[in-house]
Amino acid sequence: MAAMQVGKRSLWQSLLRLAKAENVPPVWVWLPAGFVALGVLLPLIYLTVRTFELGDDAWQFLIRSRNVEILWNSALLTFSVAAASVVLAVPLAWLTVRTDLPLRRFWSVLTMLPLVLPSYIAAYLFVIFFGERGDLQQFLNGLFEVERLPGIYGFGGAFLVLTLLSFPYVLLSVRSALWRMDPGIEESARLLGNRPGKTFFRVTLPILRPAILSGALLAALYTLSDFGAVSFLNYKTFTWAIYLQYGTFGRSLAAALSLVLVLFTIGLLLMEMKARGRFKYYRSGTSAMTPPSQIQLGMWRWPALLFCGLIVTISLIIPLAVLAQWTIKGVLIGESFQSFWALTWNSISASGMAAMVTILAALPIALWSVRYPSWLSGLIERTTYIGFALPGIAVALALVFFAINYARPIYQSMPLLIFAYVVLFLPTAVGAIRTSLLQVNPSIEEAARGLGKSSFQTVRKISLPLMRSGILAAAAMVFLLVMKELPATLILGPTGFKTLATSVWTYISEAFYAQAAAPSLLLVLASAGSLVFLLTQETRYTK
Amino acid sequence: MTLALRCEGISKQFGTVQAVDNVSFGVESGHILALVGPSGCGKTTLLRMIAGFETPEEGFIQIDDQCVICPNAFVEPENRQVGMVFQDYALFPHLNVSDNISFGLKGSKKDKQQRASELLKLIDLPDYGDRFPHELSGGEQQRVALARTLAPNPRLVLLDEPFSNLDADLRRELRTDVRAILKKLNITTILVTHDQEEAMEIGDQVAVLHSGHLEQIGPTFEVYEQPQTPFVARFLGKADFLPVRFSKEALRTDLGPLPLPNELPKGQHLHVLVRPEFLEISGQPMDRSVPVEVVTNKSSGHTSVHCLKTPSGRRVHSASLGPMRFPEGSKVYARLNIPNPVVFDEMDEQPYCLFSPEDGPCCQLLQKSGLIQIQSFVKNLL
Repeated sequence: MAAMQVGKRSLWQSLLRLAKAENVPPVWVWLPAGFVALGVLLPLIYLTVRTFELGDDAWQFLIRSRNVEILWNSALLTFSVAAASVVLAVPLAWLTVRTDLPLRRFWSVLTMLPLVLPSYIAAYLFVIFFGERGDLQQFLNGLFEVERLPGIYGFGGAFLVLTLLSFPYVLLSVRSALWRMDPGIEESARLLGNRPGKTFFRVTLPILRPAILSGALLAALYTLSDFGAVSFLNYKTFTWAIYLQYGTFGRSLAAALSLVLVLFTIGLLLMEMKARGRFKYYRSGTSAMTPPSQIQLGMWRWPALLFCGLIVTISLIIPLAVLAQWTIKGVLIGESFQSFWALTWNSISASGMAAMVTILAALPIALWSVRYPSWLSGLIERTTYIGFALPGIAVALALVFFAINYARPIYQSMPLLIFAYVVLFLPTAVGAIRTSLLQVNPSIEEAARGLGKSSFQTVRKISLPLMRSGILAAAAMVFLLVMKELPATLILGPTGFKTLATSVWTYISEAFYAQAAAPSLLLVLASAGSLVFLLTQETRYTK
Repeated sequence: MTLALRCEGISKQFGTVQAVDNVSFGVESGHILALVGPSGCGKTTLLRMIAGFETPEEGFIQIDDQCVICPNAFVEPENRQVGMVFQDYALFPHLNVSDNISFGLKGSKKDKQQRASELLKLIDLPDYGDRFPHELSGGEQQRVALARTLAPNPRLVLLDEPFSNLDADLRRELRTDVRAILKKLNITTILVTHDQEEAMEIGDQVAVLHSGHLEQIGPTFEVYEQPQTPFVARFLGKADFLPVRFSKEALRTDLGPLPLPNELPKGQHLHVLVRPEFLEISGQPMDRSVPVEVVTNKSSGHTSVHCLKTPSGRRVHSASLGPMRFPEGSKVYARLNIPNPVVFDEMDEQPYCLFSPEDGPCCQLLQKSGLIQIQSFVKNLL
């Protein structure tokens, strides 16, 4: 009996040892983590298999001039949005962190808020306002008799909308890098004979480079995977083309397009890694932080205020004002909020479930990679990051094919939709949970083990309670993302299952703007609520 | 002798806190001045005003006869030709060691490289040019920071607690190296530190700051031997105070008579400064010796410190070379050898200690580790 047990254990242990995983995690960690990693790989594997089945046909299809144009369009939009986000965010971050700009707090909160606007909602609100015969044209016509504005459909509109929604990603990372930066570095540069402007370009900007790049990467990924805004604004990118293929022609060709999109995304990730270089840019010292010195703007504070005001007006105030106006219009033409409660409930329950399942999937992976690090755990953890590289529409398509061919019963069922959400948003959850687990001192856990608790009891009674705010933050983030998610919900949602997001989409595709306003407002409010929750968790965290 | 730096009547306020209060001093060319004081005494603020990162509300600062802060002139930091080594070294993380060192140099690439390699030799890291800051140990980073500061031949070098992030052994070694380099190049230097040992070892001159106010400045050993206030006496070295009475052309203490000092303050509560090395103890009675009781003893092998109880119950410390000799509770004979006694009136602040009220060094430890708040907290409790 004993010999058997030893034999059994040594089989698994030798397998894991073979993988040079010296830290063997308990089975309740590695088993679920392994399953999750395999599950996450499924869409990617399936897309690849499907494309290769097509063989030459796929290649013939992909090099058609229309698809080359799509590739060019996607690349153009992605890079210009990323670049424009950097151009907006770096001065904003610098102004709100390092200068005596009046109302700094106010600006730093307001410039983050565009994050709560889903792209398709922002797109239709912008069409209403900036369109050829939109509100702005009406207004200008009254003043200067402007007959029509340049069209917002196509590249211009997509660029404007996506830049204004994704610059907060760059802003977030640059702001925190500026806070973390040792003020002594800039002071050294000044004492070595450099004027403030020269110091900024010789020292500050190069040090901010990794933060700018990772922010720009997030903006680029957001743009590349965006489906709502580009489709609504009729700009022909990958996501637009994939959706079109899926609805009309060969679904396998859609798979081929999705795979190219995934490769494009992976290419972006690699570019960022390469550009980041080999430098470690963290603070070397351990001494108490001196707060960064404040730069006096003097007369420059007026243009600075104008700059901040302009960004906030365009990215936040105009969309919200238009939204409020059209909600009222909707109510006046007899739309009632009544019918939206069901949609809201669908959105909230789907997001809640997805958040719960994603957290459960992320926990074993975070535990393995933090507490039992080895190359295997690193591999598993990195596998979960595939979700970053997989646009929602690609995951949705892969799962549709998979379900139709191999798992018919779950086709168009809730579990499949939740599974798609998990694949898409697992990296967010793993990241947040990892960070909070890293802050739990391992000797606290060891003390619990020493007092006779098993590893499972220790995690349940010690680690999880200590990680509570991190887990809640992760859940809130996933909740927020699922609420706004459009393409996977559209494609995978069970028949007749409508959420706020899909109904907004249905209405705006038919140009029923008044009807779309109320669900949009609810969606924005729910997103804002989870963002506020997130921010309060964060402050509690730092105390 | 010319003054490389002159500060006159410098005052600076942060909100309601008077960080620096009417401070005036000068540093002679080629000298090293150690600016010491407990944390929060204003020494770093003073240093940052000299560098040009803070502006005083009053006073002026001159470097080599150039007025860098005057009522109607302000020279920007980049034009002061002042070098500074920061507590965290503040090396540029995106540049390698060579580029860090030549950052402040002008001229052709070749000249810069040559100067960088000269300095790498000076700091004894000749092959480190291609490394990046994160690949260096703390001590190496510190030396590179010094080289970077010295490269453009500054008129004045400021060191802001440069050794505080290093462990004790390395700190001792680097102190000696840094002093040797600065002396070799004959560079005027101001060192800010809260470590009195460091100040005494490196400084030609020492200035003691206390709550923004300059208590005393002078040659290091003069300040140690002739402190002008009890604070200075306690801050530089170990100090006990014994009450004295003045009678018949001599000073009388618990531990016997003392010669008259040059200056004798007038007052009712005179105390004489007793340094541990002034108090000799022996198992046998000596000439002029007084019997005392050993309260505690500790020894590092090289030196031993006995805490003694005087006949009237005061505690004083005696230091001697070699391992400890007398057990706790034993009777020994003590003799004061003070050629130039320093006498104070008004012992305003008594040092207080968390762990044992008699123990002076423990107070100093607290001061060093910035735990002074705990001290005052306990003081309030009692």
